[in-house]
Amino acid sequence: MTSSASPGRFHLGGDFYTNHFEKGGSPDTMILNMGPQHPATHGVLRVIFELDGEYILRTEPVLGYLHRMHEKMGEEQTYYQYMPNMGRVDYLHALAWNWAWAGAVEKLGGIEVPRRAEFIRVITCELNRISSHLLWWGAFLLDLGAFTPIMYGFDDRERILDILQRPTGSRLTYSYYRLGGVAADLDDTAQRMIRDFVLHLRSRLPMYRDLVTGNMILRHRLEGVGHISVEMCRRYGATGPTLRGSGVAYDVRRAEPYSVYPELNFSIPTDDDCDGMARYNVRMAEIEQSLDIIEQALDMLPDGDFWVKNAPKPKWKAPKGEVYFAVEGARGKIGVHLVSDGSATPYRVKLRAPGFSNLSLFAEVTRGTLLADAVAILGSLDMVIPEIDR
Amino acid sequence: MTLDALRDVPVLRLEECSPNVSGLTLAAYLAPEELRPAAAKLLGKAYFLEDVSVVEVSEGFLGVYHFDHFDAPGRIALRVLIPKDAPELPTISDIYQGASWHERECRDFFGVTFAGHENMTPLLLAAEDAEFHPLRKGDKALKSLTDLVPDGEGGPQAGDVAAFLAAAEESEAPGTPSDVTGSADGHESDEVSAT
Repeated sequence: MTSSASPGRFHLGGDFYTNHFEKGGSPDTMILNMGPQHPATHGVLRVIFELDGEYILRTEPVLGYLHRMHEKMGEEQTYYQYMPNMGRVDYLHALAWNWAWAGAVEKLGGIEVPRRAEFIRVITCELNRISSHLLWWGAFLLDLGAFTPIMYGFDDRERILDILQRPTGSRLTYSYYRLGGVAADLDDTAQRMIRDFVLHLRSRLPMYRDLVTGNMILRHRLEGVGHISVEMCRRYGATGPTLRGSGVAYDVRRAEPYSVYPELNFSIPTDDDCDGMARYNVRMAEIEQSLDIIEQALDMLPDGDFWVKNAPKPKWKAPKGEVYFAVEGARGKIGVHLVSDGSATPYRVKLRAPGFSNLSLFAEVTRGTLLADAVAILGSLDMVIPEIDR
Repeated sequence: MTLDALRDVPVLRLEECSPNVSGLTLAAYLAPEELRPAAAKLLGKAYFLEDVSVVEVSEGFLGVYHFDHFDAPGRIALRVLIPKDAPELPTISDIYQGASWHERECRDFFGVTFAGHENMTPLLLAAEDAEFHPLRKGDKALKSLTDLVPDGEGGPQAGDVAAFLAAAEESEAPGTPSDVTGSADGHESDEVSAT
């Protein structure tokens, strides 16, 4: 920039964030906007960079393009009515959000869940986790310039959607769990489809590894890129594969056990390289763990009701009180903080979205890296913008 | 581990909770000036920040901070009550950087500002709507803090809240948040000129 870059050039009017961001900028650098409609931002996220050549000096993610005020809707609807909102918060792992809401309200109201329903929840939620990870896998590699993997990922993901469509009736924004159970039973056909799928995906994973995991280009793009330490995760509240890629075996399914997870045998994959490749490896290993969980849960699936007989009615009133309930979503710790005044609608609903905390460390991680690496780092965080904006 | 996490922090009220009932193991009511030392203490003991939120009650705004631990899980809640006419909390975004976005979200939704926050610009709502706070309740919908706690076991207790409210009232005289509001003016005027 020449000396003509006087402070006056910042008073452009118009865009609030660019002006605000530019005020802190140096005249010798360039401000670059990525998004809100850039394919690598995985939805409507905008990121403003201040660049010195190709190196990043400052980063600011700008949120709010998809904000729908879910928390306000939670205060306007009954506990029962609010469930469909959950599928729209994180459309890739909708069942985990279903579960977070159902679990919080069940805890608040002391509602029993039949054992069969608990196992059905485990099976469907883990299937949904795999479908989320498969989409992340394809989309992440697409960000890095590889097109083929997303076709394979979508192919296998479609099978999961076919399976989940049977009990849930939908393919994306599931609203399947109910207060005290699930909306429909998992019939024999669905169970058989799931067993077939487990075998099928196990046979595909070696091909995924051959095709991508050992690929030199991928390794050069990810190894040593986007170093996220445990200490950084702590300060930002990052959880899920992002944290486990920093070597911490923290998983809500084990840390705050819920449902029948304590009865199931599975490990928590970690990788202590703290870089993009570590986060990649963790998610790939999690797919295999989820397959194991599904198989065990199918073997253990008991007979009985899938929905408690005296389940809360749509206008059911919760007892007054306060509750916090967390589950492990595909992106990390999903938390629902509920405050009830004893009426049919919650007094306050706070949704803790894992992506919100994970993305907040993006500015710190990208400082000093190359712009191309920022794309790789963003992809390695597995963003779902509707969940971040809520 | 969890139970002595807040040792040495002068709390107005400390509650041991049952995680099976409320999801919390420990909940503390603090005076606003004790929030930052308490957060620093929790970071020193390797707690991570889960979220920051606000609950509006007829007594004022209740800032709610949740922390958990990677190795020794057990949720700790810190709560701070501030009056409605001086809705300002001290920021903890320099201690826990992840609090930064949560605090900006609280400002969007409730109009609670955070003294010392380096960037209080709107996060989720449009800059033009900066003075509209959608989660604020009308007078009719507002409930007292004592109406929101159950009488049962395991969670926060009505008696604790009553005692906390009394303690907060006693300390009302000199050290109330209304003294701290001066620093917020800088942020406010900054935003107005940028818009």
